[in-house]
Amino acid sequence: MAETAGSAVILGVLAAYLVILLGIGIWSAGASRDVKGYFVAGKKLPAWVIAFSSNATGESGWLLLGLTGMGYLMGFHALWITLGEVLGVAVAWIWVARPFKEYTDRYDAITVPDYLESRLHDRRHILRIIGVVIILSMVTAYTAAQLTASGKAFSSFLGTSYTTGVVIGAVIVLLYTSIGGFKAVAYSDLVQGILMFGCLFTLPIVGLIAVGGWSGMTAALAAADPALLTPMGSFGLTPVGIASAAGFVGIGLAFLGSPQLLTRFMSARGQGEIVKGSPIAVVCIIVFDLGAVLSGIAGRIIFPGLADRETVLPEMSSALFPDFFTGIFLVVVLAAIMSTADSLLILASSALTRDVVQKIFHPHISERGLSILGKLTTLGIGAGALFFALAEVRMIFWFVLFAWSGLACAFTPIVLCTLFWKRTTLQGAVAGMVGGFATAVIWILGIKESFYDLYEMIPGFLVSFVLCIGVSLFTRPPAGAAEEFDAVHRAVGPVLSRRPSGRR
Amino acid sequence: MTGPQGRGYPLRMPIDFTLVAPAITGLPWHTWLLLFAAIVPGLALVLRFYAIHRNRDRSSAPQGRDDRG
Repeated sequence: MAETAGSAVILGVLAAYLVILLGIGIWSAGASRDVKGYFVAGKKLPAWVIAFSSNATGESGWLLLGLTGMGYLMGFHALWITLGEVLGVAVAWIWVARPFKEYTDRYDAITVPDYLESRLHDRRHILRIIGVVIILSMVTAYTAAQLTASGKAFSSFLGTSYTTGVVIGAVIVLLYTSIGGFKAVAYSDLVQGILMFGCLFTLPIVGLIAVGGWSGMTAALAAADPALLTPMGSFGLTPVGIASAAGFVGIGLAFLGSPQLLTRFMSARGQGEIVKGSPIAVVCIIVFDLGAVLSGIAGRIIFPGLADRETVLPEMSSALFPDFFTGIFLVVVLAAIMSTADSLLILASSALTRDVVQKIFHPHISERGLSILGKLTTLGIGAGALFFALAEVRMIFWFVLFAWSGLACAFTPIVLCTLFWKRTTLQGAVAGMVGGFATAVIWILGIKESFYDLYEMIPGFLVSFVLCIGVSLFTRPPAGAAEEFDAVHRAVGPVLSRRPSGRR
Repeated sequence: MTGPQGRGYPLRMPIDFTLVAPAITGLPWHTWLLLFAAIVPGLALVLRFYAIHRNRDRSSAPQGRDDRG
């Protein structure tokens, strides 16, 4: 009887959350009637929205299920992920966001391939086509991983079948994303980000109290395995340990230029919103990551023998909180999943609609027609991801990292080169994009295991930078690009000094 | 030790070091260092950035806009 009442409370919380998401979708529908409205919310988003949206998008279901599981498995060694992500977010907001916003406003760009094509004068759409292929392949896998996480969350919290959880997650995301476009995505991310923040602020505190405070936790960990208390974990200061720590830090590199995150900077109302959003984003990511790692560590003491470490958060929420809060925690896990899935769907839809249909094949198609096409491609890509998710690829952590690293290796190094090196050429960018992506894939498939399991983001970035810079040195930069580069950096001004702008 | 004259309350709350010390020493120093590195540099950089630029829009219009191509 009590169990039935508990389930009703959890279902009630879930239903309320889903109604809020659909409400945001309907509220945003008016802003999605043209292509700029549908894909970047008309570039009118305020600081709080872009800050929470970028972090909620960057973190995904992996934060709540995967990273808590890493804390559970590896103890304080998982803090290397926190280090990488906090530095990655800080550097992105301080150095990358404003020049990128300035460039994309000048070009009236609404996608990352838009920006690259204009910046490098790519009249044959080479970068756009390669970029779209990479975005579509990675995003479908990444979205499928999010839906997989949705199935896992439903079965952990409510005991429903995996298939039911996947389908419910997919239907809700597809509804509000296709109705409301990027504005619905960004504002739902704000709600979802606040929920994640609240959960990851509260859970480690309650978990620590449950294990007897900080001293109780460290004493229990020392008794279980002293290596859990050390930065290098059970690896020690060995090549494997160093490769593991470097790989964890490398996860944060993706925050510097992944297309799904750069879209947030593009959609900001202005440069001032980026400045206001920067401390919000960094505080938010600290709470997200530290909260997840410490929750996982506390969870290891409370539930020492979990068969699946990625269920530690659902286990903790049902053991330490009343039913209402268990419902909230289910909502938070879904929030993390949906906030990433919706952004990926919009990204993939923009790649097809804007980058292929409008820019290559039908430049004169009407705004209304493009917006409708965008909604249809959102639904189509979502259906593809749903199919892959129902095929049950269960290991969330590594599956997401593959997509995360593939997108990041293809785009981040060349975005950084184009923003900070005026000599970057089209040929260099093509070599860097293809080389970075190929290295990530080849590394995972053939080299990683025999090279201390080093995370593919590191060789992928290195190869991409070397190719982009090396090829650019032997080719001619686009005419006028250097003057444009200087003008952009004059407009942005110095970053960490009070000198007036216009000195560069 | 008491506070300002006439108030009669302790200037400092007593700290029970028998509780604090195990909490600190429970983690090795290099784990504390990693925890510090994970939080402080990123936060310090972004707060400095915010402090420098928060009034920039009001105090000086961005230059270079007229270069828009």
